[in-house]
Amino acid sequence: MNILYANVVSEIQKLCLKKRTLFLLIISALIPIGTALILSVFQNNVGIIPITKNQFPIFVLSIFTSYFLPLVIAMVTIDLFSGEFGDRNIKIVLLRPISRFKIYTSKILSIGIFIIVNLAIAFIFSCLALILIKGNYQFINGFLKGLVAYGVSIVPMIAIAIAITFIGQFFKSTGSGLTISILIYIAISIISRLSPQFSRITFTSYTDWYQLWIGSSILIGKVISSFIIILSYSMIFFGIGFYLFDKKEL
Amino acid sequence: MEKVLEVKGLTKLYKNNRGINDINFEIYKGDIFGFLGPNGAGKTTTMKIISGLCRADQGEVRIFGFDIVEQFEKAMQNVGCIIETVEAYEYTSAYKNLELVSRFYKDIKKARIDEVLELVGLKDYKNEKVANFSLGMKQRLGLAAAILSKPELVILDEPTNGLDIEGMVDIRNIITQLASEQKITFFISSHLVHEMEITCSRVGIIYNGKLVKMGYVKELLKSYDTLENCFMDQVRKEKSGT
Repeated sequence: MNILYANVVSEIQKLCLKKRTLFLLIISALIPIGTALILSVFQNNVGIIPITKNQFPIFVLSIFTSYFLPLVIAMVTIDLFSGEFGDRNIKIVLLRPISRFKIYTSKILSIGIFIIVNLAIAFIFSCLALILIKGNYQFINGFLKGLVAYGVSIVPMIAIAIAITFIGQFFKSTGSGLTISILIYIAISIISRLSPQFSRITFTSYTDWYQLWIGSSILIGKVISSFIIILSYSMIFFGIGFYLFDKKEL
Repeated sequence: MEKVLEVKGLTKLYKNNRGINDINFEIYKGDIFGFLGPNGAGKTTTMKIISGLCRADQGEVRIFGFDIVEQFEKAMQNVGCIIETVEAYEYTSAYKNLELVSRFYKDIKKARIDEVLELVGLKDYKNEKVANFSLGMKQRLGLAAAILSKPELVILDEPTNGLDIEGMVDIRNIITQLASEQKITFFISSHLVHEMEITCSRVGIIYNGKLVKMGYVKELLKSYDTLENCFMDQVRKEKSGT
């Protein structure tokens, strides 16, 4: 078995063996159902809801990509890096015939797979939750647009994971690493909202990247420029993060 | 004699001015090489550099001819280690822990996991969470993980640390059994001089970060009654600067 692939499988298995991972995935399934329930109560009492049935999966996605998923990514990422250094479990892997570059890459790949699973659960359950909401649901405007939006959201979410991986290199405990990651994310998000110029150059502003893909026409130029910004940040954080990881001594 | 491990001019100085200075030695196939020294002498630092957990300021380490820095994967392919303390994923079972380790090597079948668990006496506890294990059981699990891939070299840093007498004897018996039956080369560190004397075929005495004496146990015992006397003599010489 290829050693990189082997460690991706191992990292995923480690994630699956933790009860917290299952709990987070259950929450991911419950958010769309809970949101649909609230909206259906609102619809039954008031008669209308602020979004259409077609927009519901996208509405759920906005909750996921703005708040929930970055928090979940931070928890999982910090646990796989700072957590393992903190309780010294990282030694189990560092003493095997696998280079540090492959360890670092495989951990990020496993987080990427976790993100994909999380978004898939969110999409499936937001589609199932549509039963609770009255109205028409169209295949192209509803299902297909939702599928595209959830699919392209993988990219900025992985970029956030890579950035948090970089932050995680400065900490040797899950608690401090997670707290600082969340504070940095909140600070950047607030500054981005207050300053549109700053917003254009920060990667956290691209969590709603899917909006560019689901409009009446796709703005190719804007999609490409946004992708280049996300990619550039990812490469920088990956490079510096790996440098710090490689220099770590136990 | 086939060289398994080659250490040349290994030097590392920590901020507190402690560390190791110009360590040189070789380990040959079939050796049970003991690294004997008091706490803080530099045993763990040397082993950490040898296994790639730390970088040396100067010097070179070659395992089976491969440089540990430049050719890490090849150098570690036939090596099993316990460095400083045994680490395990406490949230899962002993069996799952070994299964996770097995992925890094070719062709480790489930039967091999059962085989090593039986060898270290953990077969009855294989499905129990490691969090519930005693220190001795964790030490056995660490040894099982170190020998799982049938390595040619096993590096054990203080393998009997914290164990009771029965645990120490068990670990020693496993080491000597593996060395004689499977021809595994061992590199073991300890501050327990009697343990080294009865387990090892060769020893290196490390003191204050320097390797002060090296030789076959049988040869050393021709000049000294016990290895303890040899060790104390070297310490005295080192302190007086002779």
